[in-house]
Parts: sequence; C-alpha cells; structure tokens
Amino acid sequence: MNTRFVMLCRIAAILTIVIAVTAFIGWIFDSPILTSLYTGYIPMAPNTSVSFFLLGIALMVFCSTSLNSVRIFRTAAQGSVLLVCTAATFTSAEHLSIINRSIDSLVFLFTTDHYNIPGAGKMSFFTAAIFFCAAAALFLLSLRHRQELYEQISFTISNIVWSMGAVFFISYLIGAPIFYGTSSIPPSLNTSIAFIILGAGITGLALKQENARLKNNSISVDKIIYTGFSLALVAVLTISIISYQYTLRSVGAGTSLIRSYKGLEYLESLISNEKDSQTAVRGYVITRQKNFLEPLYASEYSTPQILESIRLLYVDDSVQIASLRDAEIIIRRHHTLLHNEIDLRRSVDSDISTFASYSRKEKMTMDSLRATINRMMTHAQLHLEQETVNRRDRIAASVSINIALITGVLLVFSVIFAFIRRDLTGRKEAEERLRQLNNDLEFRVHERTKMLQSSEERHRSTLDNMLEGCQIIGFDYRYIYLNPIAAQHGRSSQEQLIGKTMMEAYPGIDQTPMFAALQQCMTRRTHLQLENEFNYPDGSSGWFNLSLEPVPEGVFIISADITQQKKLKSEVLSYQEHLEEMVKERTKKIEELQRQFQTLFESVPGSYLILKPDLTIVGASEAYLTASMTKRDEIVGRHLFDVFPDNPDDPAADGVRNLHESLKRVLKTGVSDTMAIQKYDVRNPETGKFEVHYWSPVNSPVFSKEKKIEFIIHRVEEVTDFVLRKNIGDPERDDDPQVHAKLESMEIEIFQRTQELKKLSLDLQHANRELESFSYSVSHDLRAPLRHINGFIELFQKNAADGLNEKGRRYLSIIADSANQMGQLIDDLLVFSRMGRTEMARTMVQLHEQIDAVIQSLAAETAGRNITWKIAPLPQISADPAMMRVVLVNLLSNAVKYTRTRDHAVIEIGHDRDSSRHVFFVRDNGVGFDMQYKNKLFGVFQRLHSDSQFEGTGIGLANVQRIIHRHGGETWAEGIVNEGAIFYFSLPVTQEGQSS
Amino acid sequence: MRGQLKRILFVEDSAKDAELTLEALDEHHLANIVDHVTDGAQALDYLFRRGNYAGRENEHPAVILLDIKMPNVDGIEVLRQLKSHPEFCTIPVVMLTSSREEKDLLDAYKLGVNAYVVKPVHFSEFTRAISHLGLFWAILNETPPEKNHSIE
Repeated sequence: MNTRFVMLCRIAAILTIVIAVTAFIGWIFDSPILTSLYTGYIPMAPNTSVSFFLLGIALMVFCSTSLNSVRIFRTAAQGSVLLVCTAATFTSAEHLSIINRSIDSLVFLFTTDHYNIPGAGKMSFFTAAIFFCAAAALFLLSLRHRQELYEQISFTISNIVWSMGAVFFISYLIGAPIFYGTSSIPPSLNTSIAFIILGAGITGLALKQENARLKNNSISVDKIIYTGFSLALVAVLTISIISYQYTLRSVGAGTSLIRSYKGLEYLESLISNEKDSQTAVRGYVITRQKNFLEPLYASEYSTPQILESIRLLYVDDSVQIASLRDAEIIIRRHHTLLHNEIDLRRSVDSDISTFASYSRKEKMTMDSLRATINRMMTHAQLHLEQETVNRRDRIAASVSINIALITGVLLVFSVIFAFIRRDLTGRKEAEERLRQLNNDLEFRVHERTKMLQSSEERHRSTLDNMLEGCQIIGFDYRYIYLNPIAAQHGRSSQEQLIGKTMMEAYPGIDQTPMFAALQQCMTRRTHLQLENEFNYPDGSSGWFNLSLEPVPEGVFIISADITQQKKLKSEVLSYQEHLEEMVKERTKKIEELQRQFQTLFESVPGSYLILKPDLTIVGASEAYLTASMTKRDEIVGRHLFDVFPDNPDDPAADGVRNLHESLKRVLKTGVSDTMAIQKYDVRNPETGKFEVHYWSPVNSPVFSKEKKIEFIIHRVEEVTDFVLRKNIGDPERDDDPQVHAKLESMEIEIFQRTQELKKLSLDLQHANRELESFSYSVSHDLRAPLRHINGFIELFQKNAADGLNEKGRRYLSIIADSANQMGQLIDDLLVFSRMGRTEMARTMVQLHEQIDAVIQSLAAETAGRNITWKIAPLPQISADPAMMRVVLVNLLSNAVKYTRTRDHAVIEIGHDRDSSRHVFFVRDNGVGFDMQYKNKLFGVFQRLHSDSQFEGTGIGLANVQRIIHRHGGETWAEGIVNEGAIFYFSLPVTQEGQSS
Repeated sequence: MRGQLKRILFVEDSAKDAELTLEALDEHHLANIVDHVTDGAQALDYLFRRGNYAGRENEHPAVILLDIKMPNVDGIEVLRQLKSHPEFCTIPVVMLTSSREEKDLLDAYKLGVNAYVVKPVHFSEFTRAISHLGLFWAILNETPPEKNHSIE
C-alpha cells in the first residue's frame, strides 16, 4: 500500500514537472498550443509553470526517503515550497488590489499577442489561492513535529487542491470555464489538470507519511470520507457549472424566439404598409385630393425602418436576407409605380382608364411582394417552430443532466453516508466491545486485585500471626517487613525498624556471625540455618534459631527464641551432672549398704541359702557354705539341685524330691514350710565322696512389693549328730531314754496346745455369731415392748389421763420417761455393738467438714447458749467417715453438755502430731471430772455424773474408744473438776495422712 | 361420684403394734380403709385371692404396710414374692420394722421396697411416720394407674 502511495507521489511529481516545463517551453518558443493546450484557450502563466515546477520537485524530494533524509535537499525543497507560497500570497494580494501589480513579472519576458484574452499570461487569483494551499500542505508535511495534526491538515488541503483543479477541468470540458468573461480570469486548462495531479500527489504523500508513522498499511476511514467529500464537492460544483451554462443557453434561445415573432410582425406590417400605400394612391386618383396620400407617406417613412429591423433580425439568416432584398426591390418598384400614377393624375387630366394598366401593374407588384413576404413568413414560421423544439430539447437535456448529476451526488453522499455509518457502527460496536472488554478487564483487575489483596492479607496475617519471628531484609540490609514477634525478638517495634538498615538499628551487627550468614545468603542465594546469640544494645543477649531463605526482595529470616530452651538445656545439663553425681554417690552408698548387708547376711550364725523361684542360688551364708562344704563362687547362679544332687550310692535317697516338694508348696501357698528332718548327703569336695548328713530345713518365701514371691529363704540346721545320736539311741536300742522322753513330751504338749487353740477359735466364732443374733433380737424384741409401753402410755395420756390425779399423771410420765430412756439405752448399745462388728470403710476424711456438720446437728442443744468454738487447722485423715462422725458427735455433744452450766462456754478442737501419730483433742471449760476416775470414763455404762445432773447412757465414750481402737489409735482424757476437761484421741499417721 | 377408694393392706403379727398403728392411722381417718392381716402367709392369700380371701372382691390395695419380723412367712419373704410377681410388683410396699438393723434394711431395699419406716419408740413420732404413709396413699389415689377402673 505504502509503495503505491510513493508511486502516486512520484508519478504526480513527474507529471506536474512535465506540464510546467511544457508550458514554460511554450512561452519561450511562443507556442500557444504548448501554453494553453488549445488555441484560444487561456494559457498557463509563466509564474504558474515555475511554481508547478518547484512544487513538483519538492514533492519528489519529500516522497523519496533517500532524498528526504539528505538535509540539503530537504531544506532546498522546503525553501522552494516557501517561495511558491510567498509568490502565491503576493499574487493574491495583487488580485485583491492590496498591493500594486508589479510582482507578476515574468510575463514581460514573453509576448501575449496570441492570446485575445485580457490578463492572459498572468497567474489567476484562483491559481494563486490554490498554489498557496498546495504549498502550505507540502510545507506542513515536510515538518518533523506534530506530524499527526499536520498530516491531517495537509490531507484536507490537498483534497481541496485536486478537487478545485477537477472543478476547473470539468468546466473546461463542458465548454466554458467558470468566471469566463468576468473580471477575473479562471485558471487555464493545463493548470487545472496540473492541480489535479499535484493535489493527488500531495494526498498520496500525506497518506504515505501517516502510514509510515503509524506503521500501518491502509487508508483510514476518515481519509476515504474526506476524499469522498472532495469528490462530492467536485460534483456539486460541476452541477452548478452545468446549470449555469444551460441557463445561459436557454436565455439565448429565448431571444431568438422573440426575434422570430418580431420578424413575422415586421413582415406583416410591411405588407399592410404597402396595402395602405396602394389604397391611399387609389383614393387620390379618384378624388385628386392630396390628403388621401397621407398613409403613403407614412408608409414610405416607416417601411425602410422596418426593412432595417428585419435585416438586423435576420442578419445571420442568408435565406431571409436574400428574400428581404427581393422584397425591398419589389417595394421600391411598387412605390415607383405608385408615384408614377400620382404624377400622372396630377399632371394630366387623364382618363381613368389609363390608370387601369397601373392597377394591373400594381396588383402584379403587390402579388409578387406578398409572395416574397409569405415566403419569408413561412421561413420565419419554420424557424420559430424549430427553435421552439430546440429549446424544449435543450431544457429537457439540461434537466436530465441535472437529475443525473444530482443522482450521482446523492450516490456519492450515500456511499459516504454508508462509510460513515459503517464506521460509526463499527466504532460503536468496537466501543461497546471495548467497553465490555474494559468492564471485563476492570472486573478481572478488581478480582485479581482483591485476590492479590486477600492473598497478600492472608500471607501477611499468617506472617503477622506466626509464633516465629519473620522478617524480610532487603539487599541494602534494610528491614522491609517484620512481624510483631520479630520486632519483639529485636526488642523494638515494627515502626521503628522498617525502612532502617540493620546497621542503623543495631550498630555493630555487621561484625556478628549472623550478619556474615546473612551476607552469604544474600550473595549465594542459599538457604542457611544457624543458632545465634544476639547481643542487645543494653548488654543482655538472647539465643535465636535463625532460618535464612533467599527471596526476591532479599532474605527472609525466621527466628525462634530459644533463649529459654538454651537456659533450660544448660540447667538440665547441670542438673544431669548433679544427678549423675548423686546417682554415683547413691550407688556407692547402696553398694556399700549392699556390701554391708551381704557381709552381714553372710556372717549370720545360721545356715541360710537364698533361692530364686526358679531355684537358682542367689546367696548363701558362711555357715551354710561350711555346713555344705561348698564355696560361694561355685554355687551362686547355679540350680539348687545341680549343686546338691542326691547321693547316687544311696538308693533310698529322697532329699531332692522332698526338698523340691517343700519348695513347690512354698511357691504355691506363699506360706513357710517346715520340713521334717531330712537325710541329704553332701559330697565332700576333697574326697569326692558323699558324706551322710541330716538336716532340718525351713523354707520361707520373701515377697516383693507386688506380693509375688521374689526369693525363698532356705534355712537349714545341721542335725546329723542329733539324728545319728538318736538313731544310736533307737527304741530298739534305747540308748538315750532321756532324750527320747523329752521329745515325746514336747510333741504331746504341742498337740494339746493346738487342740486348745482350735477349740478357742471355734468358741470365739460361735460367741460372735451368738452375739450378733443376740443384738439382732435385742434390737427387735427388746424395743417392741418398750414401744408398746410408750405407745399405750401416750394413748392413755391422750384419752384417759383426765381421770387421773396429779400423782397418777406424774407416775405415768415417769413410766414414759423410763421407757424412753431404756429405748435410748438399747439403741446406743446396739450402736456400740455394731461398731465392733461392722467393717470399716476407710476413705480420706475432711475433719473440718465433719466438725462443721456435727456442730450444726447440735443446734438444738446449743440454741440460746453462748459458745465459742475454736477450731484449729486439722489435717485430712484416713478413716471410716461414719465412725469418725460418731466419735465427733460424742465428744462435741459431751463438751456442749458439760459446759451447760457455763455462761460462756469455750470449746476448742486442736491437733498435734509427731512422727507416728496424729493427736486430736477437744477441750472445754465445763464441769470437768476427777482424775481418779479417768479409767472409768471410757467404760460401757460408766458415768461420772448423775442422770439428774447430766443425762446420758454412758455408752458414748465407750463407743469413741472402740472406734479409735479399731482405727489403731488411743483415747485418753484429762480433767480438773469445775475447770474443764480435755479428751484426746490419736490416730496413726498413714501414708495418705502423710501426703496430705 | 367417686368410686370406692383403694384400700391399704396392713400386715402385722403383733396385736399391740397393730392397735397402735391403726390408732395412728385413725388420727388421719384412714383406719376404715385398712385391711389388716396378721402374718405373711395371710398377706399372700389376701393378695392372691386364695384361702380365706378366695372371694375377695375389692381390687388390689394401693399400698401395703408390711412388718418384717413375723412368724411363718416373714415380711422379707412376702416382699420377695410380691416384687417378683408381674401383677403385684407395681404395688408400693412400705416396710415397718422395729429394728434399725442394716441387714434388714439392705435386704428390703435390694428387693425393691418403696419405703422403710422404723417404728419409733415415741408414739408421736410414730403417728408422724404414719401420716407420711397416708400422704403416700393419697398420692397413689390421685394419680390412678391404668388398671384402675373404679375411680371414674
């Protein structure tokens, strides 16, 4: 496309130059055909041809990239363009009479005689104006800045240039250039053609430059529209010119018509004149009166005028002119005849008959005249008719041409409109698409932004909320990002650090190994991990585990505070050392102890052998080794029966079997097993022979904490001598009756004792059962009659007491009280007995809570009393809570009871403990007791006060004692009469108690 | 018009205790709806409508007051039989006993007794306990079980 524009430019430039040079040569060689293309046409002015030449050259330079890039060419071209522009300006000014005509100069070099046109050889105003436009357009295109605007302007102007040329050219084609005959002369034909070519060339240049600039290769729509508009302008102007021409011609046709009508009128008046003349002469002949001759003279005066008019009218019609000459001759002859007749009448009194010949002659003349005139009239008539037809045709042609041209213009406009519309629609669609794209893009950008934001926020918040410190250090060692923890690690804040370099924030940091690591990470872009001690400006330091990671911004550091860890670690290490030392010490001690124990065990006087449940030997006392004639090293770790086999020479040997059975029993039952005296031969290591030995073994289990048998202690007593001696004193032999008797008596005694024990045990069980059933029946059967007594007394009191006197009623109430008392006694006794029988359910007891509850339950007794309770902090104890409650109820209710006589009772509950027991006491400032009866205090039914003084069954303290005894404790009391009493009870410190 | 009120079955061997109990119930005007039998065997006859009570017409009692210590068939045995029987297991049983023995109490509760009253030595306390029984009974009559046809 671009090359085509360049080609267009080049061709236009060359053609322009050719036309200009041709015209100039025409001037030089005085050849109108070269200057004006057609004889009689306006010639191209010399100035015009020079201007065309200059502009053609300039166009050539501008459209050629190589020429245009040479500065001198370009400047020269620009100079020539400016020259043309100036010349055109001056010419225009001359035409407008602003300045004097002196500049339009070149014409004086040449002759203008050949051109019968005023002003020929001078540049026309229109030419000058169009030159100005063309030069301006070229100059603007040659500029290197604001190209877009200038290209636009140049394009528009160049369109005007070629369209104006076209208009002038078309007007020439149609026949007459516009403004022809007016005071201004139009541009010449070749000028018009040159303008078309030049304009097209400049347009091409403008398009080429635009395409080159936009790196585009097409004509934009507005350019096409511009061109279209220019074409339309040309068309409109052409229509105007054509209309003008035809209007002019129609006007001409109108005058010829009028002429035809006038001719006819003249011809007729010519005939009537002649008739009038004949009539006048005839009247004179008859009358000889002169006044009849008036019309003749009038006609003789007017006829030459009419003839002249007709001649003028038909001056370009030879036929008519010839006829008119004929008519003139006839009229002259006719008039000669008429005058002869008059003369005849006037001179002689002639006969009328003489005039007859005249009449004949006159008639003949008139006939010939009439024939001539008629001919002329017919001719004129014909001409008129033809003229009318011609005019109608012309008008019709003009109208149809107009219609055709207007249709053409409309077509052009429709095309332009279509272009505009297409462009607009396209633009609209494009805009819509663009808008949608924009929206879409905006939305996507928005979404993306949001996403990025949220992702950024998420990352940031993740970083912000991480438990490790996170920071990003830029390549310039500036803090780009820190999370709060990182700031905390640096004992600073995000605001203080971000933007600062590390060296600014922590002077001297560039000397630390951490900084070296950072530098390494920055340069080598590798991941690094290190433990670093960070020294704070205040001299303190912290340990951090740092993880350095290269990131695009610099280095990302994750820091974890391990100061505490480090501290702990070192502490743990020191503890460990300490512990190891301790363990060593302990081990030493234990070893020492073990050694001591071993020594002790080994030197125990008895013969002991320690076995594992699998009967391997673990240890042995020296005595055992001596007795069994073995050495420790030889037996420890070996199986018992490997070390001590039966004597193979003794077929009756049952040592292994019996011992094994005994050991099995121990393992099975967990109870010591005393074996009967056993013959168990032992090999003498020196002789290698078995020696006869008798033993009295006892096997006892040793339990581990888990209640499993851990070891078996095998204790033996060497009874070889005894047995041998006894065997010697066999019943048969009866060597030693003393020993025998002694043994017998011992056995009998043991048997009796065992029998006794068995019986006692059975008795005890029986008694217990009886006691149980007794107390059961007591609780039921003993209470029933009491209840009956009470019930019926009350019924009696309710229903029949009115019949009794004072004494009777008193007896009745005594009976009731006694029964009640008895019921109470029975209940207490039952409780007492139950206390001894029921199983204990030990749990941890909060004495405080129990005391509070008991004091509350005593509300009825304490109501209205002034009692100060002093309760010391009490430990938690392991006991049966129900039983402990009985203890507390008894002791506290006693204290309340026996302080009843005091205005202000003080009851104190205290606690004391030593290594083995808790001691609790209840102290009161009541009536006290005599210490000589203190042993009676805790006996059943033992009372130190009369019932009238202080009611009671005498079982309460017995119960207390029984319960405390069952818990493994003691009870005792101290008292001073009328000053108060202290009741103590102790409980052994249990493991749980200790822990509390 | 309300139908016949449900009755109380009172099982007590001791005539004296029975008299006292009835006296106490009478204080709450409940004595006239009490059917008194004197041992466990009779109680079972009454409930199972056999022996002397074969023709008993009234429906099952609302509550049974049962003494523990009785000749022949004692209270625990009666309780055991009642609670293992599908028809009678829903009848509430109140144990009356003179004893505070835990064994009895445990046995009774294991068998599913509804209440356990130790006969107090004091008559006034006893009446109070009995009045609780009356309340118990009243509640039972106010919320009739499904099988109760005569209430309406």
